[in-house]
Amino acid sequence: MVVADDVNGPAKKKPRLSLKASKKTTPSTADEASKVASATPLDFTNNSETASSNIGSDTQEVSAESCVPYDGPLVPPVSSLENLGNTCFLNSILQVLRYTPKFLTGLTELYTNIIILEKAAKEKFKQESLKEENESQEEETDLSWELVKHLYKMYKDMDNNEERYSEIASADVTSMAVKPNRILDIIREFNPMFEGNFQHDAQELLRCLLCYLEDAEKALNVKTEEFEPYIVKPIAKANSIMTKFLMAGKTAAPKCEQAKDLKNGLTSLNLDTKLAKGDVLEVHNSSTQKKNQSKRKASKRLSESDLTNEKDSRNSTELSGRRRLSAGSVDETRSQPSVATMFNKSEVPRRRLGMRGAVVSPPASSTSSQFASTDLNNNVDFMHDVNNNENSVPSRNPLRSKSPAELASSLGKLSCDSPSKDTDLKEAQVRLQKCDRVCDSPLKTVSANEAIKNLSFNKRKRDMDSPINKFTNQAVNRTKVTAEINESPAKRKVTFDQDTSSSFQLRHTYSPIATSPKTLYLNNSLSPTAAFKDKMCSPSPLRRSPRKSESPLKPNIVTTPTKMCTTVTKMSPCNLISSATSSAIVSPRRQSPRLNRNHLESPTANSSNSPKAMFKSPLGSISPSPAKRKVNFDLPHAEGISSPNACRKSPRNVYILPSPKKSESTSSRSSSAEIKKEPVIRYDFVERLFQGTMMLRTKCIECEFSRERKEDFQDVSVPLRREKEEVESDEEVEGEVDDSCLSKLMSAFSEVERLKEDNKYFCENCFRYVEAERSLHYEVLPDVLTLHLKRFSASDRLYGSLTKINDHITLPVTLPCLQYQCPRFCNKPSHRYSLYGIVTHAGTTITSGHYLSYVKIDSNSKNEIKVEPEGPNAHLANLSTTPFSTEWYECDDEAIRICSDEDFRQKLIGKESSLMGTPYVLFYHRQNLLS
Amino acid sequence: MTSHRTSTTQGRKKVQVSFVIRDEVERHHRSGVNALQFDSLLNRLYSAGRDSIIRIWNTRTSKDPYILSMEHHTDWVNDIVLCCNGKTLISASSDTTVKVWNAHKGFCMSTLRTHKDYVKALAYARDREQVASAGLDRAIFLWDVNTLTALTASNNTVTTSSLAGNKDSIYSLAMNPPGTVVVSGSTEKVLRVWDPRTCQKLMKLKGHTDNVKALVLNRDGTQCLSGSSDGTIRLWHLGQQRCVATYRVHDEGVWALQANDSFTTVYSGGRDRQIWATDIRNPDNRTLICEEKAPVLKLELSHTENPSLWVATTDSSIRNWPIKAATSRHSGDYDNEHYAPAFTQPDFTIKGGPSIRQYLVLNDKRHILTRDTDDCVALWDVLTARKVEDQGRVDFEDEIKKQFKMVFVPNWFSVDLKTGLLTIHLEESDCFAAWMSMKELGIPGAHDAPETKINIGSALLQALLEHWPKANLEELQGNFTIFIPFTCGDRAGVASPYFSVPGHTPVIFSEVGGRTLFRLLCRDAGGETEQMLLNETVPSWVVEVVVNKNMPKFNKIPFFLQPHPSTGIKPVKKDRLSASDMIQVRKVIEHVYEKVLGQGSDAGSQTANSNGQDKEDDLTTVAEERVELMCNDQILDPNMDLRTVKHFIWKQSGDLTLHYRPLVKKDYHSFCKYSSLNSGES
Repeated sequence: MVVADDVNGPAKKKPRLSLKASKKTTPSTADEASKVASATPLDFTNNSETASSNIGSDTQEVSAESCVPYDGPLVPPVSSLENLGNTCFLNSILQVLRYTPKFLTGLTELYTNIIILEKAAKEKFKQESLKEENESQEEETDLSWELVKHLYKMYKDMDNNEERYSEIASADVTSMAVKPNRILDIIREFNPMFEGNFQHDAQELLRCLLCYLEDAEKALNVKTEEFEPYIVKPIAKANSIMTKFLMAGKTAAPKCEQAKDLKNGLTSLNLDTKLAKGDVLEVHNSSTQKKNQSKRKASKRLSESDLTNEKDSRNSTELSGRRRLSAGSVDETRSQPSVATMFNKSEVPRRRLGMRGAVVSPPASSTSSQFASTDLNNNVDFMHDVNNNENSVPSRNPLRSKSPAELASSLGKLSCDSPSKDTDLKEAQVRLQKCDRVCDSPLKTVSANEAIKNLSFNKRKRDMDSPINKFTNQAVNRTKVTAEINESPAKRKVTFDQDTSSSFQLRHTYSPIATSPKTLYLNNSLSPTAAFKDKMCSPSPLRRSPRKSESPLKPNIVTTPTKMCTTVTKMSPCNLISSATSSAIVSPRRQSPRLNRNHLESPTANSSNSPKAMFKSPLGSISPSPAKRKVNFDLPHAEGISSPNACRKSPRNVYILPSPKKSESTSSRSSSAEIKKEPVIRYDFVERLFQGTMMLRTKCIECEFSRERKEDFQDVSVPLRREKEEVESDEEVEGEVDDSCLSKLMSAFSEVERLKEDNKYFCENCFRYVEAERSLHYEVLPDVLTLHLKRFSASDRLYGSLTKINDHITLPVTLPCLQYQCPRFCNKPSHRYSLYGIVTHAGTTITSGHYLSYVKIDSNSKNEIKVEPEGPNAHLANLSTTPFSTEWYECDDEAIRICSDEDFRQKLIGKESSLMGTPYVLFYHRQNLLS
Repeated sequence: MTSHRTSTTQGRKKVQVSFVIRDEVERHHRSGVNALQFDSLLNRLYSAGRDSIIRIWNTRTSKDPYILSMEHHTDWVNDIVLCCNGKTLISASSDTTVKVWNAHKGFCMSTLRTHKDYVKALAYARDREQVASAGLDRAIFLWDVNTLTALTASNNTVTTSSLAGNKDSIYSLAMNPPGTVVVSGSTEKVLRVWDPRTCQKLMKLKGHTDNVKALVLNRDGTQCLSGSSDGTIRLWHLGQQRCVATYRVHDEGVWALQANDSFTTVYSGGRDRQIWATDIRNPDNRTLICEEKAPVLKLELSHTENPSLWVATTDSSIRNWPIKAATSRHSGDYDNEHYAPAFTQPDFTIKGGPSIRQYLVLNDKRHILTRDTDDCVALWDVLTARKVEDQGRVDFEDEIKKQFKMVFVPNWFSVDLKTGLLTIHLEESDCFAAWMSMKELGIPGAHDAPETKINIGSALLQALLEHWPKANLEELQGNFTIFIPFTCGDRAGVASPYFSVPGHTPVIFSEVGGRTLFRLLCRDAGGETEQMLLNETVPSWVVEVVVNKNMPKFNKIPFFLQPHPSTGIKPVKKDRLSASDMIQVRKVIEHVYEKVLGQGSDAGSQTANSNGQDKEDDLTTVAEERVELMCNDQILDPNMDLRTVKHFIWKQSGDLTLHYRPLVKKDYHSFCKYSSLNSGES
């Protein structure tokens, strides 16, 4: 990837400044006159002279010099974090986490489930209020949960800000800044160590943060079982809470989602366009939509256009079925804006390989489902936006309608798109589950409709993936669907699982079978969904809000949804078969994340149907009570469904609350024996993402017996200076001579240590102290590898205080294989890591100085959907149509500066300009996450 | 006996006292055998045991080949060389010493203490009577054997030359007979070559990928064979300074090599237990001589009329394998072939004894239960340094349960099994932690004062140094009550502490975790040399107890005494009491009865003062009838002592809290029932 980026790099870099300028200018001037107009005045008022960077932090000046990312009056359309008084240690870490693949996905999932559980707990509390007082509630107010909630909120706020970039952006760097004050408070409450106005250790903070998140997950795991019976009801309650949350982030989030969706769609469209001409049209549409939206980023605009389309569809109720479907999908994605963006970001990397657009959209939808509740509120707000955008939407819709087919064709061409398909499949599965539920009860029907929608979306995506399959499959699927409508829930569930598995397979193996089922689904979904959508659209009353389009779609679907559902379900069985094989193939880890996604997606899908639907539903005019109920059911079902999938796929992923769901009629179907049997899934995304296993091997030199001990690690501390003792050893095969190269230091870290002299090892075979060799090996490496450079060391010179080693270290953009079983020069891509984030520290002691972070943004409109929550990228994609671009954000508290990949690499090398501060914590992610 | 000391920093490190519980004559190796030397003139085999003993075997008789033990090392003997036509044996040990022995008579002539870590390897240049020693301290020392044998107590200095340059611990060493080349193998994975005549570095040979554990040089020093933990044997041409051949014969590390005089065949053994004969010039021509039962530590060619190979392994037996037909039996491609060893039965076996491989110190911290390589279980008494009982082949875990006693005594010694025998270490930090009453110890003279507490660490030290005149001097002055111990066969009429240890018990003074300073047999402490060395080496903390008779102080245990909640008595004040941790619950009950409850306090104390023992007994009985003590709601047996209560009932780190509860007399019988039930349960 990186290499490819390089190729594109120069082109990007040069244009970048101009692009930025053009972004700012072009949107304002040309397309989005209205928004621009609104934005520009603000900008002017704020004055660009001070420049974005000045206000924020001390180093900004310097950074401004070095980076020079920003020419125009406006700050970059990227959310920043305000410095609350030497809190850059926190900001730098939070920024990196935001761009950590899959982190936001996991966080959102966690958040959603916490909300659900808290409601469950409240329910229980209500039920048992006579017996026990305050107990459950007190338990719920777990500090770690608070952290999760506020983290989630903060990231959502950031997304919202980016969504509302056109409205709020000004020359003032703080205009796009979010205050992480609650996070800071909680962290300090957790650990008084972070009190005070001194600088703190960012590494320390990261460890604590991850630890607290893990605690939150553990607490969730514990309480999930505890409140399992109550979870269903709580969900309903949760809706209100969710709505509150959603309300907070209302407009921005949906926009983001929309934007993301649009982006995704655009990306997919772009891909399609590459593949087929129709894509171009879509792009244009999207662009036009964006223009309509004006200030919003291109992606956002696109998404908005989708939203508008959806809204339009809702409004018109009878937009082309496909359009509606797309709209529905858009809505879903929109509904989950912030989350979706988050997820998209996280998910995108994984999906990169697959269809970018299609992939993006599914994750977005999944994420959106979680956020859906919030999104619902947002959606409501957005509804207006959507309505505004409606005009643009119709045009888009045709484009979209074209696009799916085109996309399908393009997708078919792009076998690589499978990952996206997978996500779609997952979503589809979830949706299918929902559909099953829907079938069970009217509420379920709603969910089914949603599922259908999802399916349709998925189908679209799938269609995108393989057009041929879609066509054939669609017909087949439809027939099958109709035939299978009456299938038992269990089967449906199975199908869901299979789907998920198939999706996994697709991702992993791209096996034709898997693709075919998916495609079938897609096809079915496409056509049926379109029909459903149309139907859905007709019932429009439900669709109050554009976002609600999904929900309205649902009600609409409800009318005809059963068929859809059945079709979906039918589809699913096919998928199931394929999935079964695929599931076996899929690796557990991968599966788990996917599962999570699925779960996330499913909830999102459900959310549109169920939880989100719940939120939406009220918005959506569907009879509130039944809709809510249905939604509630759907949520549990969806979760349950997702959980089974998750269980199958990866035990870690999801925990589902089957019982409540089961209790309900629809749920009972969906929750059939399988769900019940399924073990409770654990929340452990932090562990899955960040935790690896080291093996400590001690070999007795006397008897040559090796003892091995495994240890988990979340980061690797790399000593900056190697001990001189080993220098003479001639055996080292290290290719690089530069002693300061990180990879060399890494290998030094795992070098053999001799236990000798006074430090002998007691060998249990020899019954005595012997010399021994101790070596460290990486047995399981995490998806996200955190390297901590030991810059702060207690040196003898300065009275034991922590002094900093400011040695220059050559940072490789990719790390070689570290797996100990592998031969020395292992080329497996999955064993390689690429740099995506750096936290740097400028200063001489740990209690002073300044932290900032660099994060990598892959803003390929087509390829990696690294989320482009940021408008600029989208703009780039739209305006410049540069296919691939990698940018680095320099996150310096309030100020964000954008560097091209090439510039960044130059900085890494240290030639000409250099990074602000010295690299301190490095973040690498597994390359196959993205590609 | 003389000792050669370089700047020994004696006294800087803490010194511990150790002793070995063993038979007077250990006729069999108790553990693996690290080195072998064959004296073809006398048909004697010398074997260096991990049990610290060098044994001489008569290879002509298979019935009872044992001739002599050479005991003076205190740790594994890692290597031996036979010099001066078999008159002198030099040994290297993990006790960091090199010792010179009269090989015929089997006594230690001198000890060389130049090494600072385990001495792992020796090399011998026959023509020059020169020996090189090397070890984990990376140093190589060259010794002139004739000088070594001439050392006396008065003339005990030796000049050595050392070969520096090794970067890592040396595990193997070789010198050619004319003494023109020395090669060392180390964990550096490199062979380093010196000229011992000039002490000049000659070269460094790279190629192995792991530790080098075995080396052989040909006579003129032009070729060298090396065996490595990387599983290969390499042939080096020293003139060309390169590896000329690599033999991949073994699956695992190669630990032992021998070559015939013509340097045409190499015999090798190692971790994979196989012994191979390989034609050096034609490696395809090789023979699996035999398969041992344990990893092979050493090979020794005996050039008698029937050439044979002596094999030492980590098992205690030594076997002799024929090698006559060993040449050119196999050729061609061997990779897929499964080899049948040429011989399945050794010609000759020197049987080894079992080594202790598992132990458990019982709760009384006096007895140790052990299991050996024959799965036999035995019970040992640390205080008397004797085996109490052989349990035979019983289940170790079952025996542990059987021996369980509800008593808590703090740890006061540590156990070491590295030699395959029980070695007990006494350290200053915890040696005096344990007290026992005379009654508990079962000391015969305990009638007068059964409750008299004895610090068993100090008592054991006294027993170990019983024959040291300095220790007895004070005793005769009568500062200390002397009880007549049960008599022990080898003990003369000298009055001694409560018990004694066998006179053959080796007593060792050594730095903690490090070098041995002095080893003597318990009964030899009165010898002149021994007295002199004892004066030098006995650490002050031992002198304080053994010579100055300053007994360590009791361990105090703080505790709280409170009325049990069920009594309704208001706790007056939370006093933190302190008492010896040896004090019995009975005494606390008395205290409660007398002082806290004030029951007959006046009368009780007065009568106790006036009438003495009888009254006191009465008081105790009365008190026990009237008061019970509880801890964690468990009623305490009056015979339990406080440390036991704390360990088994309190089970917490905080200060012990005891609750008392007055008993109404009529309830006493029910209480008795209850308590008996309770005790039955416990």
